[in-house]
Amino acid sequence: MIAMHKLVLRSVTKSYTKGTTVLKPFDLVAQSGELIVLVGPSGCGKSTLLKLIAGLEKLDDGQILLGDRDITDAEPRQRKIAMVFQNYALYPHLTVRENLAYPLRRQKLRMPAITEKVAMVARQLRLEELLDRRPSQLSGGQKQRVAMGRAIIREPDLFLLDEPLSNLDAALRTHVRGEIRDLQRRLGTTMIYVTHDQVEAQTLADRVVILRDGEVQQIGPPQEIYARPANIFAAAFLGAAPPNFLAGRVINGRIDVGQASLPFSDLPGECRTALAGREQVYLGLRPELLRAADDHYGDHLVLHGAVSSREIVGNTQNVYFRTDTACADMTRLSALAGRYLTDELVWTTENSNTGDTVKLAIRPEDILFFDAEGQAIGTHGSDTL
Amino acid sequence: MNRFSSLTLRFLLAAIFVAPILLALAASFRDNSEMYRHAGSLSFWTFLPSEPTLDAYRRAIALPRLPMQLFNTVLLGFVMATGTAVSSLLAGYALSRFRFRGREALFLLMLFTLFIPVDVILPPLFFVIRDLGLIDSFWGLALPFIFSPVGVYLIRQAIEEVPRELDHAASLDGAGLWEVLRTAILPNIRGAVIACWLMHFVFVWEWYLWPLTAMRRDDGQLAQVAIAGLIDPLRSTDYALVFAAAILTIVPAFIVFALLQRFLTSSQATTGGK
Amino acid sequence: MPHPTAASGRDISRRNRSAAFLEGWGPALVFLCPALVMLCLFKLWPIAEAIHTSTGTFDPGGQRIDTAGFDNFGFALSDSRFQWGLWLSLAAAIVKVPVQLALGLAAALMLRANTGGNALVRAMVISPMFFGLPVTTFVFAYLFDANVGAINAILSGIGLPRVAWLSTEAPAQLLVLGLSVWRDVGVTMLVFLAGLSAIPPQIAAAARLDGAGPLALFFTITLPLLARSFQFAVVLATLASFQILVPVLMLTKGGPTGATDLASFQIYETAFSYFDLGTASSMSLLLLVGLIVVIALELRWLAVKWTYE
Repeated sequence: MIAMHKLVLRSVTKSYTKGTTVLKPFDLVAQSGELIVLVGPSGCGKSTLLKLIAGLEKLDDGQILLGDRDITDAEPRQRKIAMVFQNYALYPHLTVRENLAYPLRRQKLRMPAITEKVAMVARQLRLEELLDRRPSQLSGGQKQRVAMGRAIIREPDLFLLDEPLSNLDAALRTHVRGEIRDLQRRLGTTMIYVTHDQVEAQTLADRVVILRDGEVQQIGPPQEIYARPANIFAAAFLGAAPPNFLAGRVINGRIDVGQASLPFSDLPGECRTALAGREQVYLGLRPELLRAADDHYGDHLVLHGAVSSREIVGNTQNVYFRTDTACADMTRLSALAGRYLTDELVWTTENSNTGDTVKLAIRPEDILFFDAEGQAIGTHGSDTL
Repeated sequence: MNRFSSLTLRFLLAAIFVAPILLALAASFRDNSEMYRHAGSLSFWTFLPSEPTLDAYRRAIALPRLPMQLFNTVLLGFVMATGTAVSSLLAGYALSRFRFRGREALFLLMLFTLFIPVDVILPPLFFVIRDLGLIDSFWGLALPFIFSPVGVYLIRQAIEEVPRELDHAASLDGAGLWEVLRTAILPNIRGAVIACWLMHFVFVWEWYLWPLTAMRRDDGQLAQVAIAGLIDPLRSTDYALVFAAAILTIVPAFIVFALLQRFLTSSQATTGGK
Repeated sequence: MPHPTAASGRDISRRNRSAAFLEGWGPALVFLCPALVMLCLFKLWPIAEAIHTSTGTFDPGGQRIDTAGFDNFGFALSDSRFQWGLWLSLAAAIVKVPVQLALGLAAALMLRANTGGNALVRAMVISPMFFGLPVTTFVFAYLFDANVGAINAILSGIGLPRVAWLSTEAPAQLLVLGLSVWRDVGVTMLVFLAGLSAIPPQIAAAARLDGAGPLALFFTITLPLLARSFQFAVVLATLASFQILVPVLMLTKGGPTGATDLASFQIYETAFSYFDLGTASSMSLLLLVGLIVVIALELRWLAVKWTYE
């Protein structure tokens, strides 16, 4: 029996003193049972948004609805929201058992009921052996499980998770990530998950919200954002490595990228119309979508480069190379992408014997096109709500 | 709680601690007979001088031994502060950086002496100083309190926070034990050393029992102890004179504190609680 | 030379053992020297001196004339005045510690937010410490003076009878304890402020989301997490409660009719007015042991079983 609790945020705004806006008017509808990942670099406002939903901070303007309740001005304890904090925020003076029981005791539940629920959650999260320990005697992964247990035990209408995996080591992170996903699926509770890690965003989310400087960049399923990012920032954020960015010039029904050239006729139709009438565009080429070009790649964009270095990661290889002509203004691009970009290009390949020069091709439909302001060109930009 | 009542509460709290001091300050500008004249009934002039006068300060300066006694307090302040800072620095360095058997036990023993209040141990301490022939001497006043467990604790904690790699780097560069202390550690714990110095400087103005016991020469006495002799609670005390003299006594401490307090960080003032 | 090797072997092993015992002391001793000498001379020797003196009898000139065994302790403990003094010292702690803790905690909770106004009020609460105990005692003597004191002026102004503060029993006790609390409450506040700032804000946030209202938050989270501060503040306040001799010596002289006749005041009088060194030393030791027992009990009752990390 899954309760239906949809979360609606209507033009939620927040600024601190001195007029610095942390959150521009923000709208989001999280469907009941949906797992939404808020992602963005530190300081983008994602944690603030979480605190606003939790009621730990007051919003300046806007409205928050949970299910059929307006919780905009409700006290945190009245919201029926559970939160897992980055440092877990377990009560250090209480045992695991008492930590789990804490929310139930605040609800004035009777002791037998509390004991029963604690036992159930402990079984679910494999905490039985740890019930009498204090948080300081737990490992990072165990603390994480207790924090999850404390969140689910009161059957909240909404879960908020604030970078719950950032204090775990890499191996454990993957494992716990899966557990969180399974748990959320099983409980069917709406979840808002904040992270700065794009891998978590891709693997967990039903929909991803990309935030930058308090402003939404794109909202959509991860695959869709990967395939059709709304702007350079979103393109650079989601994906193992940011795309290779090149400058292109639109001339006479073709795009010149350095010495390479791509006729409009090879492009998908909607792209063609959107590109017509422009002069300068940026091209984004995902490193993993490049492939070694041999002769029959006539309709592809083909790049020639001199290899500068390579690194081997398991069975794949990152090949760093430069093309002499197609470099864009990297300072401007770095600003648009919100991260430091160099004019060195990278090719991710499973091909292990590559020479000192490379000849690479990419399918025209895999190329991302952006205008001078970094916005996607064509039908690429998905729905922003 | 609304804004008004929370402000009122804060104001009351501040007043409880500041009003008595301000009252004493006001009293120092009064004439004694004027003070007694207004004492009977409650009015503005019960608390404030109706005819402010510096007469009390004139009389305080004219007290034959006060300048000498004030000098004693200030001198003792400098000696205590410097002596404590130096001995604590050396001991803190040894207790933090050297490995020797019983190090922790020694540190605990030092801390344990915190539990021996002067009030309780006054007679035996007096006998020890008498046996050393230091009664009625300046050093008899100073020496017993130059070792300060609080100072050692403060400095040791500060040195603990200096990364050991800094010592290692300095000694690889050829520094001996003294140079390591002087060049690698001292520059990094300057705040703690100044805090220690200042704390023990100001602390001399707390003194009463020990100088009262161990110093019976008037011209060797500390100002605050001598001024206490002016108070006779069961008869009529010349409070104007008492507070004029007391304020003159405090002024040097305030000047030194004002000069040095900018070197203090708030962390040093509060780490004691952790 | 019979068994030279055995002899030298024993010699070496003994030297090794003492070398092991003194391991690392060489260079440390140079730096420890000033502190160590002072520690021995002025902290440890007085204790030894007290133990030695307490077992002797002395002529009025301070010369030891006889060994008394434990007679001095017996005499002190069976003296009804000293019994009263010990009880009074304990009562001072029993009153001062909880009052000071409650006030200090209240002040800390009120002033915990880091605003400019709060910083100012905090500085004012701490300010009595900067004036020194003697001067603050002068201030209280004036404030509570029977004739010109502001307190009596206010009392009579609002129609209450004037109080002879220093010559009535309960008011004299109130004055001495009040001065002590007023002076020391700032320290307690600082300890609690440090304790409050050490509580991770997320823990309070978690509790609020878990359904804790202001009261539940205070009693189930804030207060338990201040346990360490409590321990520290209680020990400090207890120590301070054994150091209220100054106002007694300056103002009340143990009176009126023994109302402020603290054990420490009796020790002072016995040593420096009656020159009964043996009894004074045994009284010092008794009070010291009493203080240490009280603090040990407090530390035991207030032991903290958890840590943050």
